[in-house]
Amino acid sequence: MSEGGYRGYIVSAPVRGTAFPQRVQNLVVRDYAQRRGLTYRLSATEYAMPGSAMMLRTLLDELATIDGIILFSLFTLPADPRRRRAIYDRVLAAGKTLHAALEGMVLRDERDVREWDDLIAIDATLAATPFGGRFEKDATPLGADAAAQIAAFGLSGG
Amino acid sequence: MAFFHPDEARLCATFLERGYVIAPAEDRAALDRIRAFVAATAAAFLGLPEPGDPAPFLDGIGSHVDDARLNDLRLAVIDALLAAPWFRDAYFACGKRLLEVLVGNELAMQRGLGFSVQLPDDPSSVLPLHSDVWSEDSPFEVVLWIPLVDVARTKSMFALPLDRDAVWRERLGAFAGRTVEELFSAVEADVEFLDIPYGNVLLFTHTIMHGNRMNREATARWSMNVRFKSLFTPYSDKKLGDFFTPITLRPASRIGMQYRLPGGFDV
Repeated sequence: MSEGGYRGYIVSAPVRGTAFPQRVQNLVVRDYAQRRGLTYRLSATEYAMPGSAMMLRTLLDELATIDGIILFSLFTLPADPRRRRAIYDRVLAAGKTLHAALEGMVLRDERDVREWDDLIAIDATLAATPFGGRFEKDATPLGADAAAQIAAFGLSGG
Repeated sequence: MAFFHPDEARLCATFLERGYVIAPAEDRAALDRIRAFVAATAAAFLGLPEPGDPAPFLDGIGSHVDDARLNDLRLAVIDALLAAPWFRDAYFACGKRLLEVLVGNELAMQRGLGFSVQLPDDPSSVLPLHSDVWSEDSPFEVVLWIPLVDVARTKSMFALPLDRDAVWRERLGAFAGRTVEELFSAVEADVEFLDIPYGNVLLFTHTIMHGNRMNREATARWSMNVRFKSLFTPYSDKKLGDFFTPITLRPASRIGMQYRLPGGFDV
């Protein structure tokens, strides 16, 4: 019998390099649910071991009794596209929805899958763009530390 | 610059010289639609009939709302705009070519929206002098700023042109023990209050110092702002995903991101 509602999913590891306290992650998830009128049920916390998705798979096993899952962020999903695909497939096959609270996004169908995976792929590609896709305010591009930056790219300063 | 069309080269030169450009909205129907929607939403919020002509209604909003309800009105309009499925397309359409020439054709757009209603003589809407890069923005972003009424003098925003901004930025450390208002007094002779009739848009780099003063004009300022950046340039604390979303990812990038070299070759 379906109990309905949405389970939250938060993580113990940093998300894109930023460590969010679990209390803050829960606040974001609860606020997201409240703003959209979704019934929020307790969050599950992923194990801290790198690459672990054991807790997320456990939530997927509950899909028959809930309306969906609210991730703290879509960047808490596995980095491997095949593992993500398996998660999307299970949610969609169950006729449920996957939400990303920080990004304010909902995955309901294949078009949403493309939007979610585009974001993850672009973010991963940014790591290979100049300055790693990140503007650090204490390391201005081609500013006082230009020589160090050029050296970091393996280029000659001359 | 030889690869640019002469018009584009002139636009680039202006932007590099001033740090901003003011140009007619490229899709006037889209802008008019946004303005009519904002006026209708504000009227509904205040329990007033939908205005026939948005311009005098928006200009004269101070006779319908006081300081205490102003922020609730502003938030109601923001919520309505972001819930309208056509809004972000319409906003982008107002400055698409400008953005493509000055920023790139593979763009990220802010998910949300900045929205300002500045009543005459209202001190609560003052935005002190700042550069967005001094807080959580990347210098690779630009702001597409669109007024919904004619704006000029203190009813508008002010900015330091790029060359003057560079001079004052070098001197900023001397103000470390002083206030923002003292900094403004120092740069005031160099700032420009931007004269932007309705129907035009402003695109500026928020690296330059800018802000607004108390609106000393007789009518209210209504303006919107949304940040854009080239998709694959560095982000700061306003990240891709939670703040920015890709809007014009190109097929070649999609193919490149997905491509993997064939495996099975032993080293």
